[in-house]
Amino acid sequence: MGSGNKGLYSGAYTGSVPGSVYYMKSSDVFRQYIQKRLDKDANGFVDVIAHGTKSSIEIQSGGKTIVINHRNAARLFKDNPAMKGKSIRLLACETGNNHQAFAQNLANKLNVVVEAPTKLVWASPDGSYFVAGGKMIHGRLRPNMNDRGKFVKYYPGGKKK
Amino acid sequence: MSEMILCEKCGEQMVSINKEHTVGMLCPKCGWSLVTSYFDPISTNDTDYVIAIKPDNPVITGNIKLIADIANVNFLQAKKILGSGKDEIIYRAGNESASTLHKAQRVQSVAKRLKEAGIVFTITPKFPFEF
Repeated sequence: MGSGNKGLYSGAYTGSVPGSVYYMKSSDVFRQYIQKRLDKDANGFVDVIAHGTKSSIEIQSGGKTIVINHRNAARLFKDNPAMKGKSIRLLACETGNNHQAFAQNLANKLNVVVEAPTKLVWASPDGSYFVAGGKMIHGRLRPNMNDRGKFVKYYPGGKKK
Repeated sequence: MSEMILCEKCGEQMVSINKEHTVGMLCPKCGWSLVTSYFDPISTNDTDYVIAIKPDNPVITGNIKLIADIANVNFLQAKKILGSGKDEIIYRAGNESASTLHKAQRVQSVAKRLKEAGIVFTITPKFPFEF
């Protein structure tokens, strides 16, 4: 993407509190739950709350829901003064699935540490959450407690400093 | 096999929540729930698919216009592609920076249009989704 698209996502984040940036609609149930979490500003990381996949996150922009890759996310985050140069924790499902996933690529682009979940993030009304895989049962997604995941830190270039 | 999920707070059977990309379970009795993100497999498929049309598709105006639109070429170029007598790549799934559709969904959309027009084509590698 050329520089002509710089600013495309300006104002895209739909709310922030110190140490947190939300890219979900305020009406999103996941957002409503996760924003009650007790570990905000964990280790000084900025929390990014968005729906995610192994290779992308979903954001709101201009009234539309769009999916962006790590390159565009890096540009978006660089434009956000609250995030400049800070380590990031992604509360976005599967973004830390492996070393080819979104989080590692984002760490490389931004030159900051990015912590991200290896599997789905499951949140509850009291703000508690855990990382685990999911299984479809009769077309409905359920947490698979036999497939627990965790948050992993990804470092620029893939190496721990 | 029926697998019920019971509410960890009150023991009631939980029901499904499914709103856009937020899915999970809700207890209809006490309101406790558990939610996560879910994307259809097609929206997370990162394979670089290539669509090629086969030789001998009819070189008619409707087909030419369709190929021109999909391949992002002009009418004359599209006519040449259609009449070349060999396999011609007309679409590669790229990483468009900002789109409401994921790249596999864009491939699916192109495939649907070609199929509706009766144009014979291939998708490489094998495309696992319906169109």
